[in-house]
Amino acid sequence: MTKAKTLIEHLEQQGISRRGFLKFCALTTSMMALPPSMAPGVARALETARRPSLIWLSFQECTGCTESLTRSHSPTLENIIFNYLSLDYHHTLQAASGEAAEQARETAMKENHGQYLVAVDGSIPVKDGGVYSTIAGISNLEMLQQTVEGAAAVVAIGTCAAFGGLPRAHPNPTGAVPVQELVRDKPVVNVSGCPPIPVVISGVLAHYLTFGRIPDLDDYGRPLSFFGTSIHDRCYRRPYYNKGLFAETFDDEGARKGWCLYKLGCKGPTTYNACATVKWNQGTSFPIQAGHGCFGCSEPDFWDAGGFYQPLSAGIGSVGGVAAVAVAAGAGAGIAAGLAQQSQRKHAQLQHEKVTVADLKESES
Amino acid sequence: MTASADDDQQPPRFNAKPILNEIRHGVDRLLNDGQTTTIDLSRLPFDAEDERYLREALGDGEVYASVNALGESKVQETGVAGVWWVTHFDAAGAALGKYIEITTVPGILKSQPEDMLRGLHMLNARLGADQTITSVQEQQ
Repeated sequence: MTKAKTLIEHLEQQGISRRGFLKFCALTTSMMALPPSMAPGVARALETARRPSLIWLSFQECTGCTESLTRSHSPTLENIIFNYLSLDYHHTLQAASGEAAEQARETAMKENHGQYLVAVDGSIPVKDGGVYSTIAGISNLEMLQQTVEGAAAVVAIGTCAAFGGLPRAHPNPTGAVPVQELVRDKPVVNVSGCPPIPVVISGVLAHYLTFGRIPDLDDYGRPLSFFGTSIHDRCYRRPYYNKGLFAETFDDEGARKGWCLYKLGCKGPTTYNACATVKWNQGTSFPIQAGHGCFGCSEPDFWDAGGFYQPLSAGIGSVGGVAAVAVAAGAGAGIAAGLAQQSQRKHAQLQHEKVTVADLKESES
Repeated sequence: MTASADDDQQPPRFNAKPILNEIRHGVDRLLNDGQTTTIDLSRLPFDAEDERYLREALGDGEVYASVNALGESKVQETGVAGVWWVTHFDAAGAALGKYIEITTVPGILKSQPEDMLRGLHMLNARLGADQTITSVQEQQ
């Protein structure tokens, strides 16, 4: 059987009917967070979409981003997109190893020069010449520079690749930096999240497949269609926030009634992501629905931005007084707290102190 | 009726009611201009209570269909004629997308020319490749 050149040929070879293709287009339109009225336009574009090469580089990361994608809740769609993309290099997923794996990367770069996509998960250590993470004897820094040279665009997948993430947390021993600090001459899309929502990863790739260009981005380089509104604005608990009804502890009456988790440290007001609508685990739930506040994992430097269980209004100072004032202020408090958090982040980074086991035991007692 | 303190602690179904209004406007547009509307429910903060409210408000209609294309799709007309629930599932039965379509017949139910052409070829082959029957698409 000849290799399909366009997506429609690829689907036909799999015995998928035109009706199935239109269903795929409706779902892909939804996946890209575009209005349903654009589905016919997406179908026209996908009919002639060419098969792009994708090189996936994994650097200082935990493989959670790949786990997120491979355990995605809509495998039919992801399968089609990933089977259609030519995933020429992904050292966790590919069968080849050692020199053969690196050969696959070099071949894909040569054959698709100027046209291939590069996906990166993980940050890049640059301290001491980048010795802290290497693959096949090549530093992450050198591999990124080599691979990006002939790329059409780069997708930074996960908070580590987008903003440095956990490896960059203070004191950043490896000198970890995100992709956008090293790649200045190619379009870079940041798909942040720890891990990112799988449908957001697929949505960005589908957007490139459909329109041949990267989607519109926010100030942090994230696709606006997924990161354009805050978790707070889309949260089903928002009406409780507006009414000033808050859980004070994780097991009080308010928590049982599903009231707002703002006072328990929810970072929803300052976090931009699609968790509240797309959700996780087959669309079952998301952290706030499970009774836990948002960590803000899709935001820069979330790891050093103060305590996970302190209200935004409290920053890293005392919890009581400031929070009470902010809560009393009602709906405007989240915005004020968000602004306060920006300056507190810097303070938190400068003041960061190591926590020992003894400290933890002391705090428990 | 006055709101009790308990009512005050319940969140309003803040997305179901606006959607119901959007549906109302959509039906009006379909009747007067023939313009169809699709509402993607997966893009809204829409919990189970919102959906129950909406389903109760719209009721059940006369048509129910199941489509087997790239997994199952369920199509159900609501009690408001022209307003349809369309839910797409994957091959494993997981819901991938939920829509409200305001149209006379949802697109997923219509036969597609490309599939009809494939069917015609199949019949031609079965009946001894009678080439006197050709499709408009092939003539073009």
